[in-house]
Amino acid sequence: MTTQLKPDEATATIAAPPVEEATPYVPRDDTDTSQVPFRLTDGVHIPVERYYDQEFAELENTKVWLHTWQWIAREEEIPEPGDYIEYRIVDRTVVAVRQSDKSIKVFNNVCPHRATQLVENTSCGTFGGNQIVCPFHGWRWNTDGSESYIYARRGFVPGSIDADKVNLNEVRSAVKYGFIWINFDDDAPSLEDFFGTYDNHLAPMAMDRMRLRWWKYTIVPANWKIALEAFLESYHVMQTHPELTLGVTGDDYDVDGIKYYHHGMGHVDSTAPFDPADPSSFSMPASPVRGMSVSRYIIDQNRVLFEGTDGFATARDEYIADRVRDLPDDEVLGRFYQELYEYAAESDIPLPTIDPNASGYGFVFPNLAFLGMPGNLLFYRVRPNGHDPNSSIFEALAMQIPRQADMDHAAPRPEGPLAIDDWPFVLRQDHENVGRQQAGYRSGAIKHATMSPTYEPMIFSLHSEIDRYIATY
Amino acid sequence: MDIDVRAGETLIQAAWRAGYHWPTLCYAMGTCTACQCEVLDGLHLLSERTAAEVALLDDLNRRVRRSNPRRVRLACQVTVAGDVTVRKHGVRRCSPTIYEETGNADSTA
Repeated sequence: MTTQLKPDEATATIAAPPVEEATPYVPRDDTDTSQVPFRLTDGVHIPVERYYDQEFAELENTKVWLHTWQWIAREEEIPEPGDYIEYRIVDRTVVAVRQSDKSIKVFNNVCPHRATQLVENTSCGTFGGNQIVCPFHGWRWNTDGSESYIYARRGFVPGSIDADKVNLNEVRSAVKYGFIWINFDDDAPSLEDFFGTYDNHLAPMAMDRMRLRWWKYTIVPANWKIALEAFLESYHVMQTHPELTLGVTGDDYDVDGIKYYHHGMGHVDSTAPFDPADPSSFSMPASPVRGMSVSRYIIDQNRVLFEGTDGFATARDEYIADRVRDLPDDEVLGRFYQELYEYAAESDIPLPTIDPNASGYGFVFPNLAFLGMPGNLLFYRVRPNGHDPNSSIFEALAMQIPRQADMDHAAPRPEGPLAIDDWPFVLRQDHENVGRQQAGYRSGAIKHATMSPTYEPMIFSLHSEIDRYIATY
Repeated sequence: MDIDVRAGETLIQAAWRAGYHWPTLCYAMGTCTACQCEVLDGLHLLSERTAAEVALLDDLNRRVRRSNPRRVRLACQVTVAGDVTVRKHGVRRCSPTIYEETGNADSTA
């Protein structure tokens, strides 16, 4: 005779309070996307083909990657004149070079003779002789892209190798927030228009003062959007990151309090815009953990994120938090920031002024997701791995504002490709999910993903903006 | 010929700064071996072999050897901590800005 075990109904979790009914996601503009294959139609469903269809991937390659702003490097990787770094996206490869006047130029990494790649993929170095040299026939350019030497030029038809034909051609670029941004389309909107109101929330983060602490990458067996989407919602925290829920499960971890705000061209973050002229516009985030105050939640969550990512919160934040952990809830968070800023002042660490507009969790279209707190940033970049929609390159980078005296230390190079188990545990948990999605999308078992517009609007914005690019170009 | 080498600069950088032409194909990227020289004196005063030198000069061990491979270093990779004597064919005086030495201005000559 067997007995059925039943859950003890006396300890069932309290039902979540009723919330407004969710409504479908509405695209930010009215671009006609009716000709876009596998497009978003109803603000609820995402067709599965977007994650594995070769033709859709090629549309992304030509209509999105060749027309959107994207970051290629951090300024501190090429500090001195002659320093260079390579960046590749699908079929395009470019090289950013620090000029003698300290500006940066970005060139196509392609020899005009017979298309030889001038610097190798993922390379970062210095043109020690201030010459860019093609390894095939020895053609050379100065670091500003102007031609320097064509070997035996008498063998070429006059006019065919004039300077305007053989100078390395520049790719449109800009430096902002310490990142080098490029756009392959000279007619695309400006970087300012790209960010729009996002600048109000990115500028206060002082990312230009941050420096890379570590940089890890892995090759993911999934479409780039899947690897990115893992970080574009907090709906997954309850189940995927048990350590981050600080002991509660199910509806006792409530992310209804995380609101999303659209900015510029496809970007979304979770920071309520604050108008200093209207103090009532300030809102303290809600604690997602039932029964825990938001300040206690922040202090405790930071410790778990330190242990699990070593990026969002770092050792220095935890040593400082150790000083204040035993304070009551209504004092602990304020005192933490006070101690952090005193430490920073004494150590000559140029933290930005605390600003309610500084973004703490955001998505920059097309492929940057970040988490931040004052002085720190943990961010992710994902790119398609060539033309294969089933593979992508995932990178995680940790940045921090260092002591002024340490600003010029050499930047770390990417480590990897890491195995899943080599990631800090929070990221490992995310990657374990990502590896389980691609086959399911391809299987035909479901025709579309059924999404939550309330909890997953960053993902809708990603796809909606992709449709807009495909319809536009 | 005597060339003053400053602290932290490589042999080829010192030669360029002093207005010499030093054979090279890759312009100090550590990818060609054209700048290689034989160290006659002061071998122990040179910086350690770089990854580029190990990768590029390893072939010397399998070829007819005129010089002891141990004495062969790449001028674009080594720095010095004292007086060193090297032998290098093809070093000569040239105009101060080596990059003007294109030698092939746009003419039909």
